[in-house]
Amino acid sequence: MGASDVAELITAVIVDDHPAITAGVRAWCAAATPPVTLVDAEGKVARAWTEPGASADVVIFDLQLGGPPAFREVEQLVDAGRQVIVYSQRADRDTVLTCLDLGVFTYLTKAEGPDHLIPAIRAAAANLPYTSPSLGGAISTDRRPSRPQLSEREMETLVAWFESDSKRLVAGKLGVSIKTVETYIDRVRIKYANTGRPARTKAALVERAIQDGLIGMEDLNS
Amino acid sequence: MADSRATMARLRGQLRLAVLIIAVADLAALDLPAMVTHLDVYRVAWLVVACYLVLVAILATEAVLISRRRSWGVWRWPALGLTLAVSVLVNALIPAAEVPGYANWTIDGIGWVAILLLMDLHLGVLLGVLAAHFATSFVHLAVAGAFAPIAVINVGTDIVTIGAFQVTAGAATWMLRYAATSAARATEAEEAVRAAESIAERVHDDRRRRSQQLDAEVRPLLTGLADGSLDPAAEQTRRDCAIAAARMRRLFAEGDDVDDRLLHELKACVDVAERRGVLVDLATQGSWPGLPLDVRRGLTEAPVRVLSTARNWARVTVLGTDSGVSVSVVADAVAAGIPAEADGAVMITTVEDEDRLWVRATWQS
Repeated sequence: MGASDVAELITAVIVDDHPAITAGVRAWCAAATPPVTLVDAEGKVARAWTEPGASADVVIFDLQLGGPPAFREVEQLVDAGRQVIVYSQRADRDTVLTCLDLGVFTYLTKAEGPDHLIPAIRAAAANLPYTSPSLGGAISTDRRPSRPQLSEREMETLVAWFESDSKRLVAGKLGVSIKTVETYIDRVRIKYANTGRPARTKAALVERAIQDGLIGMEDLNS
Repeated sequence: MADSRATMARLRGQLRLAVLIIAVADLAALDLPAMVTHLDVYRVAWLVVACYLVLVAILATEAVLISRRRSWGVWRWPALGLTLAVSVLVNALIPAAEVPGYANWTIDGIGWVAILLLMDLHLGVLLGVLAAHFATSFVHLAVAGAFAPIAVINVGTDIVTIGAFQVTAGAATWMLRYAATSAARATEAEEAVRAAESIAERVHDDRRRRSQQLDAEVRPLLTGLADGSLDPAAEQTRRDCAIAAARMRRLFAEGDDVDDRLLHELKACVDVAERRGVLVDLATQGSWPGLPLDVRRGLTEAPVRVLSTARNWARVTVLGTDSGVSVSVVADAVAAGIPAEADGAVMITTVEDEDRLWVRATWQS
């Protein structure tokens, strides 16, 4: 794991109790270029801890495994340094923000298809931030006192990203380049990685962002 | 309703007082002298006086009850029994020869007491009690073998004169009560009718308003299609029809009683688009308060247009923040006819890309 090269073959393990979802994700992974190798945990979290699931670069995790949201399992995976992408039916702000605080890599709703899941898997393997529109929407309505300070521009970008699901449209609306849009969105994600409960995955995200010059130390201390 | 009840209670109190005054006047001015001047006639004089005092006690109780605005309740029956006992006892203590005369003072006094005690009841009860009371005098005459025509005529004359007054008074109280009850019922019925009329009027207004809105939009389309001036195959006609259909759905949804009206009305529009085969992704985030109709209309108006012209797909989002609510639609649709402002001070922004249109309606709280 760690700083794997994007071109390198990525392995992901999916923990989802709906076979149709697993089959769909498998098809998307196979169709991706380069393809992503997918391990099916058949809805059992334990399979993510044993081979071949244990050495997968990314864990795609369905929060609802026939019970209440499995926050505890998410936390254990994150604590073990796993890159967890929560892929859930739920879209409510509190669930999304709780997962983010636990240190998941990103949060996708099941309405978000391969256009978001495949890039998210690649980003996770490379320790690069990935913010889905649904995660952007949840962050833009965050009212907790502990939330990081976002600039007005960052907030605008996030809201527009949630609404349009298109970086090109956001760029057109705000009159900036797509690259700038990406920078704003990623900076927000890094700010979130730098707050709340410490996690190794969060630290890796922040470290990579500073190395890449995406964000400065002064921005993180504000 | 409350007014008629109060009027009824006041009238009843005054009537009670009037009958009490008559009864007191009768006992004091007529019966007392009659009894006192005949004390030597009665078989046991002190018992007759005691009977008189019993009636006085009942009248005193009635006076207290009137002042406290209370009714006799179940106590009316023991009091009535006592009154009838007085009627029988005094009659028995008078020699048969004195029955048609002043010594028989109870013949009028008892009736007034009975009217007071039976004021709340049906007139028939009073008539029965009066009949029983008057009958004691005849029974006395019959038992004593003094059923002579003259005696019977004298007693009968007394009974007719006294009874006429008392039955009239009883009937008057009964009729008054009946009138007051019907008045109260009539008022209640009238109020119910008035309320129903006002509701019906409001519902009618609402329906008329909606029907006018539908008329303004749907009628030209239907007429155009019917007379051939609109081509059903034309892109523009189809678009107009789709928009009108979505607006109709929204209009119908506006009448529903749901928690989140904005989302409910928006879902109605989404539903119309989905029926046309458009794949719609609806996402919401944050919360928003209950919004007035014009704001909801303003927020959904532009999205309705976009959804109605979307060809294959659309993304609809509702975002509620501290500063307001925004409804946004991205779709492969046409930008034509999207205004910059809408009802309820809603601002509309439009961004066009090669193959997609993004329209966002924002309401600032």
